[in-house]
Amino acid sequence: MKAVCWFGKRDMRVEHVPDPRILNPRDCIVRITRSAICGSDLHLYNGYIPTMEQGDIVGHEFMGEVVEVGSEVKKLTVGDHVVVPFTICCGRCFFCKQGMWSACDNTNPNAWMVEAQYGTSAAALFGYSHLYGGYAGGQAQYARVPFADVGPIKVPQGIDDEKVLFLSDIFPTGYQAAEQCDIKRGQVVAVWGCGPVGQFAIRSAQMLGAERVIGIDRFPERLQLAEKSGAEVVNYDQTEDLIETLKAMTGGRGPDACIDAVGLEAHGHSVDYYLDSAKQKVHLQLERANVLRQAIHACRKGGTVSVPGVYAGSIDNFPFGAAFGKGLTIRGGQTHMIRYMQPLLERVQNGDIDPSFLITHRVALEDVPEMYKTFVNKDDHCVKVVIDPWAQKAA
Amino acid sequence: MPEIAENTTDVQESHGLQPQEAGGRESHGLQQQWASRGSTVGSIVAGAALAVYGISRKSLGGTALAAVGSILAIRGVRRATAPNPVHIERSFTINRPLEEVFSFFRNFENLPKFMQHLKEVHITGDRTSHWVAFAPLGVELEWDAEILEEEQNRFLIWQSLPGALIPNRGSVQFRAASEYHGGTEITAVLDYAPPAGKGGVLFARAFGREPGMQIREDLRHLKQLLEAGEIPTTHGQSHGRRTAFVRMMKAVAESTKHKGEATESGNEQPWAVGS
Repeated sequence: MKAVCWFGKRDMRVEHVPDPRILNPRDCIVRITRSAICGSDLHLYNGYIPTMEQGDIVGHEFMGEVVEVGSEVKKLTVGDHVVVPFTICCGRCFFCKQGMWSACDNTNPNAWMVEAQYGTSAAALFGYSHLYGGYAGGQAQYARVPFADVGPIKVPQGIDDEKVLFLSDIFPTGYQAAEQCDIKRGQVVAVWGCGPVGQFAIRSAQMLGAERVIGIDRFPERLQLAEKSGAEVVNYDQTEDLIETLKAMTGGRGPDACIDAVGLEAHGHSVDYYLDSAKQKVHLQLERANVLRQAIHACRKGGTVSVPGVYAGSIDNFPFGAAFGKGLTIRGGQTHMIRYMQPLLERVQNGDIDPSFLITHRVALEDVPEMYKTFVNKDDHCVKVVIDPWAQKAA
Repeated sequence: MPEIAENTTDVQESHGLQPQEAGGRESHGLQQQWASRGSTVGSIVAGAALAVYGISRKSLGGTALAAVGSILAIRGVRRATAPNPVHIERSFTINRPLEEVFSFFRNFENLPKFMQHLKEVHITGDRTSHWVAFAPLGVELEWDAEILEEEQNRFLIWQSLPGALIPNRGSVQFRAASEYHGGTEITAVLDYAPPAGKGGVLFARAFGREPGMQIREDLRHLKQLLEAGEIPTTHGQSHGRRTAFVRMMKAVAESTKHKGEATESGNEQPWAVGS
């Protein structure tokens, strides 16, 4: 089969690779019908995530048809059309049973690697470095899906793939981010980053009862999408002082909840952005955390900072004094996918939301290496790239 | 509950774990091994001398001599020194009932299902068992063990019988976790005292470069097996071309690999547990 493989910084290549096989009795094999490039894939592309190995297959947002099941798979059968969550969960450990799916104990064969850094390992992910299990990802024509009875959800016939593909990651991720804000009627939620996760966070915050949602970004097409969803927008490139602007928009209080849907590759004009960038260049720091700091600074006292954005290391200059002094709640973490996939599928089926509004590019597998470049530079008004692994390359 | 030595250097003495040479001769310490293994000393001295001579020749022939000499010396050193004793203490909480976890572990025939270095274990008597571990090149390490002490659903202590090439001992405590956490807390203490000489070399080959890590991962596999029903793996999965360096490392790993690890040549994951 063909698959997108990581070969180094800014070096993704489409290779002919062996078809995946059943390796464990609870595996299934999925013939992928649609896949996507995630914002967090860009961290792999830009070389920020350690333990990548040349030849690793990337991609963690995918769906398709079950073509083979292992001997212990009971719920799925060949022919089922499924969306696969990006987290791999066993379903039987304490954390899975408590609904903390992304904290699963048992799916990372490289748990020892994570223990050195974090204390204990959480769930493995598809296509996201050996620290997260080293599982082959889904920017490919087929994928091996472990614990097939636990993660994948069946999609009813007649629903377009593009409407449900984002149940694999970004829609539940944006939804969890909004849910973690503990939104009460009348509240104002600010979302940093109007990329795909931010867009879903905005919609989800509205679904959960926010009176107003403010979207912050610098790319016009992303701000427009946010406005179309009913958010007020702030272009931070054209704002002298973002924190003051947010205060002015909220009666001097600051937003009741702040969502950091940007993560470790933040951009900005603040002093700390330049300091973090300099530290990154000499490998003193993995991440740029200027958005996280802004969110803490802007948030109303007693409010919540919710972080779906990916972080991996230890940032310097974390304004814990501000967080403490204002009594903030800071929440985050990888998405507990299995909690949200079915309820959000129902929302799609009811017509509450059509997630395909995000898609700006539809490409073949061979186009993907070039699309990584387009996506990272936000060229061509790129917001979300969806892949048909069986399509021919555009002439 | 008998005391378990904390200090790895005491392991050999306090629990009677005396390293033994191949063939079953008892050793009485490193000095006697040196005296009785003149070839080991000879290897080191002669090998080193040859290496120095070879280098001083400053020619192709000299280089060859130096290579041979170095190899002799290194082999001598490896034979003379025992690998460090291995002491693992690890606690896990397994989300299965206490009785189930205890009875699974108590049946030592189950151990190979999660201990990668074991090929099989046969129960030979009420308290005795025969263990077979993997080592490469078709060699198998075998020993007998007996249960020293046990209390059902509380603890289990076993030790290899005298004559074992690699003396070892294990002790596992079982406790019911709180109602909130559910399941069983286990604390396992495992000790291996590989000897100098052939046994030590076989031990290193069977357990890999970091035996402590391998054994610790085996305990993690127990939790994975009992909870999830299987041990997660990426051995044999699909991937693109690896770098030449990684391919070479894999080839080296393949040649020293033992049958206990499922490998698919060309698809080996260098990061996966056990490689």
